[in-house]
Amino acid sequence: MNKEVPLLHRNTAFSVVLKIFAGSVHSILPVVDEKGRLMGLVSLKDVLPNLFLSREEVGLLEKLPFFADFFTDSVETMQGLKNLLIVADIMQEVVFTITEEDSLIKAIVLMKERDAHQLIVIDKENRPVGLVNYNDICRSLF
Amino acid sequence: MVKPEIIALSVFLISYILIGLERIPRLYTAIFGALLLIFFRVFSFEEAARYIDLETIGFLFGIFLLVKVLAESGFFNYLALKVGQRLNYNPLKILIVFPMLAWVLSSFMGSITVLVFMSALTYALSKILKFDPIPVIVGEVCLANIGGAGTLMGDPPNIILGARFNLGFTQFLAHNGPISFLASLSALLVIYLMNRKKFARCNDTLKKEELKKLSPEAAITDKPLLKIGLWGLGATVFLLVGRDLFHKFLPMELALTSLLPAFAVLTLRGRHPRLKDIIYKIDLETILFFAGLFVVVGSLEKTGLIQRAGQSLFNLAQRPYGLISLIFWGGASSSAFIDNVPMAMSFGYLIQSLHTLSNFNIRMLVWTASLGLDIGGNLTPIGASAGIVAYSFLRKEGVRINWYVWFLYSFLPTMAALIVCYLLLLLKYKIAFY
Repeated sequence: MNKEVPLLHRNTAFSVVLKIFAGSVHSILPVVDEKGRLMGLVSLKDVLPNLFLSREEVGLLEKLPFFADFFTDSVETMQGLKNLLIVADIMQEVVFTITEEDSLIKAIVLMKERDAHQLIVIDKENRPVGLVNYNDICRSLF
Repeated sequence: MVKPEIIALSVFLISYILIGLERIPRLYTAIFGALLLIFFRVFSFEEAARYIDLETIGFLFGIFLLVKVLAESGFFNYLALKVGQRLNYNPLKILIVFPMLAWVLSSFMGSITVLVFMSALTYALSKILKFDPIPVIVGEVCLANIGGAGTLMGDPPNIILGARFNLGFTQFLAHNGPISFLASLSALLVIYLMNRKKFARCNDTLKKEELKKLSPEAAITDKPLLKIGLWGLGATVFLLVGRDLFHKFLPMELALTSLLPAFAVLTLRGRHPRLKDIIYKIDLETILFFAGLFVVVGSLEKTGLIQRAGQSLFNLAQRPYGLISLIFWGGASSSAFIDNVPMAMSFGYLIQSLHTLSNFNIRMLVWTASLGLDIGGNLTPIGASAGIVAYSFLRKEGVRINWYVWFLYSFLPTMAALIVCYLLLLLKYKIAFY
């Protein structure tokens, strides 16, 4: 488990979020309330396509990937939005978590079932204490 | 004790209203309605099951499978890109040719899948080439429904009526095909005249040159799957034609013509990664919806309500031309607001009743009803499944469209098509070609 986890708040600017992702190895970041309790997460996998394109365009290009190169106009428009968005605009409220006491097997099964690359580890008071991914699990075997 | 005909009529009307409102998935409404009829003893389970036309459901199931195989292979996107390339991605030519492509495809594959792909691709092209997608997509819906009216397999109402009255592919093609073609030309002419100035101004040469470099083959995700899908669909058409021409030597139920090729494809290539789970990806909701609806509509026939409606219609119309007019325009205007599938089922029973009362030729009534029901659905976004698909897609993409805008673009082309159909139907009757 990686205990060095940057925490986000609802009002954190999207541009700050991008800088944090750029400087870390994490693909998700927890969002906490004023008391430090987990209330959601921001996932790079979900956020990155929407940085360049609108949600509708992402959906359209999923069906028609061969048109991707023709949507460069939209990229310039959306780049400006990164200074206007905050975490509350982009966070997910459904979060899959495990506790420090849960086994590695449970973590693996949960990540596989949810198609997630990382899970947030929480304590008894629902506060994030770390992140775990497949590499961490692999490291724990040696 | 409440009379069975009152229960049947109540369940029928409430189901229709709920299906029309689209707040609840129509499948649940239809199945629940069917179960209520059994609960209130309008009929037993066995009787209800007899009203489910397995020929229609089987045929649809097979067609859905084959079309899904083609869809998974990227066939529709490939075809549209190929056509677009030939048109040099000229928006004015796209306005005319893409609806015509929808007309051709819907004649053999059903309009719903065709519109799922064509509306997405047309919309993407409209964003790249900067033209208004609404006239093109509404045009595609209109022409898809007109095209679907021309063959047995094109639109669900035709499948329902064809199965009920044992009318085959070649018969629909011979009688409805030419009318559908001429009606489509009239609709296209109106679409062109309405929109030519606006589309002639769209001319992003730079983007067109870039698009021309895009190879249509880039849209194909699985070539072997495409080949086998085309073989399967070709086999279906072959069996449909063979069934009509050689029915004395090779009697074959309608459902087998699509189920045999579909399951032959799946059995021979079932280990293909994209085919393993394909059966879960087809539109089973529509199949189950049909099953429930057959029972709900069948209750009207069981309780004698259809026969009474037929008598009233016969009294109202009296003469043949009056009957043709009533069936055609009644079917067209009702299918604008009510899903044409339940209308086709109701009309099936009505036609049988009218034939009994008036000795009027059944086939003439079937051609009349099928054309009216298929094409009338263009007038509103909910009149036909193709329209529902396209309208929902445009709304989801944030396009500014509502019922009024839809009507603006669909009314004149649809009326042109309906008038052409009506005049040709009268001519058909006059020359006794039915």
